[in-house]
Amino acid sequence: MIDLDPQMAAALQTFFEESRELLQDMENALLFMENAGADSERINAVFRAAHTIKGSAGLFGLEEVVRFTHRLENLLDQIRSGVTDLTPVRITLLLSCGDHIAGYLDRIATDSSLDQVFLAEDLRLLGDLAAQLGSSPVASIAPAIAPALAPTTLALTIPPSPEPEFSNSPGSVQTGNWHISLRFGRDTFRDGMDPLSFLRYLEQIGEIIGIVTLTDSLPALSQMDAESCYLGFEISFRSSANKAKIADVFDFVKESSTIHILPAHSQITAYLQLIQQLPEADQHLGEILVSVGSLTEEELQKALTLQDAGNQGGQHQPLGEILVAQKMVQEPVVQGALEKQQQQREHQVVERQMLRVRAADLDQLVNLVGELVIASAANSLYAAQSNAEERVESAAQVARLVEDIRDGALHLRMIDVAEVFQRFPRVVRDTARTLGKDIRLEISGEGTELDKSMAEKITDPLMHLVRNAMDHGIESAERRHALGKPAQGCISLHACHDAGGIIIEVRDDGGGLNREKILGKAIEKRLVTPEQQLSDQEIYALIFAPGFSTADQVSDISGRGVGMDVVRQNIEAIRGSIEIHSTPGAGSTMRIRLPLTLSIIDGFLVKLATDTFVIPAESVEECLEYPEQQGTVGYMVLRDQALPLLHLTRVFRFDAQPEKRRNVIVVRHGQSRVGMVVGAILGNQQTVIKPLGKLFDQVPGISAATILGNGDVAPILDIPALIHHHTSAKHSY
Amino acid sequence: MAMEIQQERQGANLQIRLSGDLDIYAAAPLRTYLLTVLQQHHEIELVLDEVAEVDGAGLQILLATKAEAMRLGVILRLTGHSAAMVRALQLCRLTAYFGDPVILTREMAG
Repeated sequence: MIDLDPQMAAALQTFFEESRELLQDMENALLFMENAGADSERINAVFRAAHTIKGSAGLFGLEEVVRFTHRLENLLDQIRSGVTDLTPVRITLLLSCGDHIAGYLDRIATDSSLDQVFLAEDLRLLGDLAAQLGSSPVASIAPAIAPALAPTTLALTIPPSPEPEFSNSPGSVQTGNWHISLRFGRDTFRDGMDPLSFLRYLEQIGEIIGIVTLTDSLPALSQMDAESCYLGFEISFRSSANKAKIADVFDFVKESSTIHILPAHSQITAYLQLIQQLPEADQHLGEILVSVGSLTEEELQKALTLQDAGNQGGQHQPLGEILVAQKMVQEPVVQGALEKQQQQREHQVVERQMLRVRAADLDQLVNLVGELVIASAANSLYAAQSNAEERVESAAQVARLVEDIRDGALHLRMIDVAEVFQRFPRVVRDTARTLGKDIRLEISGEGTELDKSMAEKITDPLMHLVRNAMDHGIESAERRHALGKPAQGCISLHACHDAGGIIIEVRDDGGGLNREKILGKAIEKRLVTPEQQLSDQEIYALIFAPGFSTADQVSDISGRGVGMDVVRQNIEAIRGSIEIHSTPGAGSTMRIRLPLTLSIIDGFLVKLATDTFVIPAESVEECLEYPEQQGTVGYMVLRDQALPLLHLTRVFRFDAQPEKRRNVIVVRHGQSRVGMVVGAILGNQQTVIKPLGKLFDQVPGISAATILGNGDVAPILDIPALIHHHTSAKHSY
Repeated sequence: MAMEIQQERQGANLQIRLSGDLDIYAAAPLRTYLLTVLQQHHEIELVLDEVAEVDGAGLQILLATKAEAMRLGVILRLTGHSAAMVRALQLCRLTAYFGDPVILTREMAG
């Protein structure tokens, strides 16, 4: 990538993001139509996506992308106009083309070269597109690609003169020059601006091919105000600069002046619109456009005749309708133009509603809010100590507002889990084809929100789990038939909130995990010994061990034995956990449990001797008084069930005497419930998680620390670790 | 350089030499002046060989003067264009509009 000024680089970044979103929309629409049949609304959506990407890529001079997308658009255009049907073969081709464009974008974004494989794919797709278009491969493809077969780097350049093929699209004008229409504001001189200097500057970034100075609005010498500006210009301009750069020339006068910039080969309709918008008489203006060289005489006549015809009808038909009614312009062209307007309007609305914010700024904000939470807690504490009622009240109000701000700030980072799931229809479709299985995907629980950074990190593990379930979980069609199951397998992705965390499940209706096979393999790989007594859960968990794979045949999709351990590592890296539930013959469920956010939790403060500890409130189920009269120490009976007890003073080796009044906090993680025996209960408080230094991060049972309002440091208990430690070690508490 | 106007009567005709900057600062007085002389003379020659700078406001006055002269039937000739004048006219492709012969020196052409 050549050097870009920061503004341009930022714009390019936006282009990448928007294009990826558009490609995703395109894919969604195609997949929907593959199942539900073609509908014009979605075909249009696909076309628009491709069209917008092409347009924006052109703006940045990404020739290769424009070239490729242009061919894609040709096919889409035929499908849209009904010349060609949207067959499954074509859907597959269109999907591949979408991937290929994404490939282009990735390579440009990372500044990497186009390797042989990529270019071969390029050639193949262009060939397929040409075949689907019913034309012989376009002659210009070969020379365009052949020299590129050697690895090349994409350059951000703009062709000195646009390729002729673009000018041939129906309805666009012949000239390859920009047309700039300027009407300077009356106050231009008074604002210290000189129209001539803008023209001179324009000459520096391109060539003024034709210019007409307009004197139409210039009053008679006796009437004019010598210090007002009456000048206007129609300019035909040749330049390799993009629209933004040309528009930048007029940055200082854009508020006060009327400026229209039409790109090369704009539709005639765009010129017509220009003619209509400008104050001068249409015929006169049209002649000016001809004289500067932006329109040919025929193009002008065509446009004006059409417009006259419309006006004489006495009704103001929309321009597009006139053109179509007159059969002068093909419908798609007009539709394209109108859609483009519509789309730009929609786009502007969206832009006004959404704001792109740098993730780093957001993190900074969340950090500050964290500090604010601590400060507010201190404030409340001192207010309470001061015994001044008003102060306590106002501190409480501040605390409540801070809480709202915290929720708001955290919410900014949240995205809908649907954004994570949206990639999966395609993954399932493609994987199913590769495997030769008929599998559908069901998605539920959209609307569940999770932290964006978490969403990014969970996608890969999910992808692996889904592929794995499709490959190993779901049986072949014959086997399913023999078992009396429906021939079509089903993978479902589900998300929901649970106990202050998020659960994401990958379910399949396949054969379930083979307990014996896993155990056999594990013994063979010396992961466990035959003597060990293992629960089903523990056996299933063995598939997460490094190097474990039970697939008899290594397939493309999975079965290489790498991955499941990586899946677990990735999930644990974001403080999540994974468990497996499986029913032989009926399928298995991979349940991923993730924390809601990574930085602030609602803490439940408890006292152990003189120290304060924090239990994440999300894992607290209930609090009880410790039954001192009960004889046993290791468990208590809670509603006729045994509840294992964990004496935290013993876990952390406090030497202090048992407190007089002890409490039991019932905490849950997954299916396990444990009663934590603690001293006094101090109540709920928002807690900013401060990571422990390297020295302390190995301390068992403590996941992090927080700073209390009075400045004390309180460790945050690592509930999953404590429960795990307790249930596996079978302590004699 | 503030603009100076020198005029020299040649019978019924008037020769006016504009020197200095033909710009926004000169525009208002120049307009008043030209408006007056256009009423009083049948033929006016504007000598532009000492015009140092031209801006949009100055050019606009010339355009309006030309239009007014045509309306009144006054013959208006622009002569001896300085390099700056030629550049301004060429930039806006206005040479043909005024219709006066422009002599390009080598410096201007080059």
